[in-house]
Amino acid sequence: MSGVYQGRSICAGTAEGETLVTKQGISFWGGVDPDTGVITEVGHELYGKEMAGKVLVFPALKGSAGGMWIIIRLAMTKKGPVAIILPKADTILVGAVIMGEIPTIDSVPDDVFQMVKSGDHLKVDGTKGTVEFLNTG
Amino acid sequence: MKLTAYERSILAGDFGDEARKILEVMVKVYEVNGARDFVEVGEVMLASTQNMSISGVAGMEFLTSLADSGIRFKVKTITDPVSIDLGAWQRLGICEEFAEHQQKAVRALIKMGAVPTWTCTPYLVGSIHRYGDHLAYVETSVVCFANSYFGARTNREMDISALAAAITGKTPCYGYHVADNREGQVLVNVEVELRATSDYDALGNYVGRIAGTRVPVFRGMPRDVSTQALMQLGAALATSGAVSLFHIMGVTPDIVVDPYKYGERSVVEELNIGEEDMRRAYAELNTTGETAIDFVALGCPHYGFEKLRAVASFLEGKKVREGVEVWVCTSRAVRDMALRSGEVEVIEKAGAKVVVDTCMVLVPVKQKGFRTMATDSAKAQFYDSGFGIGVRFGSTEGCLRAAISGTWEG
Repeated sequence: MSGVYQGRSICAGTAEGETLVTKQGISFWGGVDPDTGVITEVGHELYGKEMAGKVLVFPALKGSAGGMWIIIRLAMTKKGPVAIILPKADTILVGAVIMGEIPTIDSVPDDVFQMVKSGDHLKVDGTKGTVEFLNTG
Repeated sequence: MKLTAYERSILAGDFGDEARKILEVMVKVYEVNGARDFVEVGEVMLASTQNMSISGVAGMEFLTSLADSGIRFKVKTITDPVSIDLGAWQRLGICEEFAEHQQKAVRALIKMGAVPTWTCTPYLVGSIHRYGDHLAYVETSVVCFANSYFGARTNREMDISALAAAITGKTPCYGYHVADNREGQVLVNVEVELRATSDYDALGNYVGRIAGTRVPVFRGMPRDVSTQALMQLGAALATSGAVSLFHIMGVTPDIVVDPYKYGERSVVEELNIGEEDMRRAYAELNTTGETAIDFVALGCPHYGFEKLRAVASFLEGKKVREGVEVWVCTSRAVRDMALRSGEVEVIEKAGAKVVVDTCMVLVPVKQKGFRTMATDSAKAQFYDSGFGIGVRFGSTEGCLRAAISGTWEG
């Protein structure tokens, strides 16, 4: 997949990196190690995976509102995602990404969620609200 | 979006990065939720002052910088419990570094104008509201109580959006601020007699999981259901699910005002609760088969005066078994009344502790080495199980019997 896709800006800033993609919701409170950014929820398809430095593509937050603080803490310690793309941001996520200064966009075309896979290389421009696929070959 | 000159100045960074980000969150929350306007809020409640949920030292520094920036709260802002007894933290075996860390956040909040309630039952100590009042609350059990019991209107805020409301005195109008979003969706026919307050915990825990984020409507509850029972019901619904509002036919204000709108029009699912469901609801809350109890934790949410009096009456002339730690959690304000009327002395003479400003969910109890806890609260059951402690759930009397004998008998 290639090209640039337009979404909506949730938090400004740009970042690029390898993607970590899941179709399952993530509970940062209790489901992610706050010190390492490793997903610890038993049975989650990303169980044992690290978020550090990744562009996280996931459907929604789940669980406690306290998850907001875990996202902020991971951002401050550089153990969290460098950018986030999701279908629709909610209040908790808005608080987390603005406080943690994580470039984030939502409302991108459905095609993006259909075709993106873990390991793709993406550039997220949270200010313009765009995502660009940088895959080569 | 209508913003005042003061709000625009904060957004421009005139009060520092912390306040700027808080207002950026408010603006984005407004956009993301498709709000059309702001509503003025009568009161704000902040929650995660606690060491355990704020993002470590960074969170404390954030609050301190915010307070130093000159920002002050525009409306009455109350506070959830913290992770220590602010008057006598040594009593619960908390280390000095942890306590000092917590005191820093407390000082910052008070500097900004927060009311030092430090309780999850603020409605028992002055936070009362009229039908239709707008609020911005974080603590989920109080969101549930205020929406349902008073018919006030609040979303389930997070700390940053609540701070924005405290600073500006307003919140984006969406979600539960809008009457049409408050209609009941899951009808629950209660076909059993509910007696102990723990019955309401068990029921709330059971229904909350099915309701999720939807609004349950209860039919068949007694009209004289106690306030304490509704505190327990709301806390449980908000814990096992993400319920922020419930209606009880003939009891809570929205549905009394308009039974069709709130009790019928949007109902999409119906449940019947019988004896067998209640038995299962109790069983689900018992997460261990262990009968030796070393921790008894009561008062989640923080007990009101009547419950303290009932506990004192049970414990009078008895002795808590050696090796069992008993916490009866309440607000400082309620405890001070019970100090004067003698209940605190009776409870503590029996070997139990009246715990204020904090509770069994916010103190790192696992580090204290407790293995098996008895509680009368579904919310405490959920969180303490999460800390890896085995939990026995039952009536207040059942828990107190275990405190005396050291053994769970149900």
